[in-house]
Amino acid sequence: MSAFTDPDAGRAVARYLGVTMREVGEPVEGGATVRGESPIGPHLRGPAGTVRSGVLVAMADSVAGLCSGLAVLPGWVVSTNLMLTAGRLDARGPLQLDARVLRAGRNAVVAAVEARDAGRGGARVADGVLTSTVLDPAGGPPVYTRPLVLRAPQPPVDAAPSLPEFFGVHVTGPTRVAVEIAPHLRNPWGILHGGAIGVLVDAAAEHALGPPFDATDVVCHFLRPARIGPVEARAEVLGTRGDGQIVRVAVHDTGADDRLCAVAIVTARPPVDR
Amino acid sequence: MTSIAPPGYPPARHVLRDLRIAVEHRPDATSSAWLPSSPFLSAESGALHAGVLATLVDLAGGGLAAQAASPDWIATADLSLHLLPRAVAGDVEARSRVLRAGRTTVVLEVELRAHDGDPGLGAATMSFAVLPRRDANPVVDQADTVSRATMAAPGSGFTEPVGDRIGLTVVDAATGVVELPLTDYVRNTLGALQGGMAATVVDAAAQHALRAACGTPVETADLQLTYLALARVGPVVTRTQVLSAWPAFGTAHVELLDAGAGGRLTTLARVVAARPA
Repeated sequence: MSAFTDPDAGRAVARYLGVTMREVGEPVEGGATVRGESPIGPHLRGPAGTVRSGVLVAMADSVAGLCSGLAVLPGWVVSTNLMLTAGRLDARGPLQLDARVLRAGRNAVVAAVEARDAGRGGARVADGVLTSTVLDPAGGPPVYTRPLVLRAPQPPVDAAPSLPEFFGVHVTGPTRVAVEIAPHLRNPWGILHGGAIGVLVDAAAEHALGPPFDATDVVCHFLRPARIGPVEARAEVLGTRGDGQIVRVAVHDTGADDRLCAVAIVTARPPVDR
Repeated sequence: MTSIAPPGYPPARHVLRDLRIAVEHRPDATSSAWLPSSPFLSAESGALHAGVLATLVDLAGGGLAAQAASPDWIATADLSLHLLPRAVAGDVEARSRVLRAGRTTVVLEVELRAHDGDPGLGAATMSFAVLPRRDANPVVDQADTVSRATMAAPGSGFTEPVGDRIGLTVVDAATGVVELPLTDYVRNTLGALQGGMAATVVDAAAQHALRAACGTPVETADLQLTYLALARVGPVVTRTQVLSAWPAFGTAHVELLDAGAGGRLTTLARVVAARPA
C-alpha cells in the first residue's frame, strides 16, 4: 500500500525538527505558498549554539517540498536539487520558513524558500531554491484538507534526542559518516528523506574538517533514491579560500551496490564575529 | 540557455569567440573545455571572474548534457559554482562528467583545473531539464571518437575588460543594480541571453553590492543560479539584496529581470563574495 494514503506518513523528520507547516491563502492550480515555523530547540544546534546547516537543509526540504507537492496535486514530488545559502546561523528562534512556487511545469517544480529569525526581528537566516520532479503516486496522492495545516507537537526539551541520535549518524572513517534507513527516516515514497541526506552531508563535512568549521552553504543534487542502506557520506576537502573551505560530499547506498545517491558541494566557515 | 553550436553560431562577433574557448567531447561521456586566461577576464586579485568561469562551465556542460539527452533536447535548469580563487597563468580547464542522465533531467559535475602546477580551482554542478525534441533543435552527434573544436576566430580576443566589452553598465554600485543590453554579441542559439552571460551580470551586481556592504574588496567566490525563463528582449537589470556582510565575506540574493518584457524574472541567484586569500 502506498504511504500516500496516510497523510501523516513520512512526517517523523518534520516532527523532530518541530516544523509546523501551514498553507497560506486559498489553493490555486499550479501554485502554493507554505509557511513553516520551528522553535529550533537546543537539540537542533551545534556546540556553539548555532543552528546546524543540516537542520536548515532538512527544514527547507520539508517546507518547500510540501509547497511544491501541493502545487502539482494530484501528482506529488521528489526533491532533485536543493541550493541553500546561510546568512547567519546564530538564530534565536523561532525560525520562520516561507516557501513559494516560482514555476510549476508538467515534469518539475521550482520553489523558493527563505528562513527568517523571528527572534531577531525577522533577520534573514538562509535563502534557497528547491527543484523537484513530479511523479504519480501509485496509491494516489495524499488526501489533505485545504488550506493545509500540519502541526508538529513540541517534545519536552529534555526528551528530544540529539541530532546524531535521531538520525543515527555514526562515523565510518576519517572522512566518512553513515546512517541506517530506519523507518522514521523514510519519506512517503519509502526512500531516505531528503532532510536526512542534508543532515548526513553536514555531518560528513564537519567530520572531515573538524572544528571550528560550520557548513553554511550547500548545493545538493539528489540523484537516485536511497532505499536499502546503510547510506554513507564521503567527504573530500577541495581546498581553502579567504572565507573558509570547500568540501565535496558523495552519498552512497552501500546496500545497493554502492549506488551514488547524492552529490553535494559545501562551503564551510569558521564562526564569524557576530 | 545552453549553447550547442548549430551552423552559423556563434556569429563572427560574439563573446564566445572572444573568450577563445575550445571544447573536446569524448566517447566516455566526459568533456573538457579550455579558456585562455587574460587580465581582461580577471578581477583585481588576478583571479578570473566567476561569471567568466560560469560561461566556461555552461559551454562545457551544455554540450555534454545535449549528448546525454539526445535525441531529445535540454534547457539549463541550474548552475552552481564554488571557487578557490587565485591568479592563473595559461589555460583553465573545465572537466565535465555525467552524474545522472534520466528521462526528465541530466545532472553534471564539473571540475575546474589550472595547468600551472597547482591544479584545483573549484567545482561546479549543473542540472538540465530534458525537453521533447523539436525540428528547430540542432542535431547532436554522439561522440564515437574524441572531437575537439574551438570557438576562437582569427583576430578574436579581448582588448578591454569583459564587462566593458559586453556593454555592462553599473547603475548603482552600492545597491547592486547593473544593466546589460541584449545584443547579438551575448545571445544564445535561441536568441536569448546566453546562460554564462547571465552569470556574469549576476556576478557583477553582487560583487558591487557586497564590496559596499563588507567595506572590503571582496570578489565573487560562489554562484548558485536557477534559470526560470529566457531573457529575450532586454535590457536585463538586476535587483540585489545583501543577506550578510562581514569584512571577510558576504552573501547576496540577486534577481535578473528582463526589463523589456515587463520586468519578468528570468534568473534567481545567491552569491558569496570573499576577500582574496
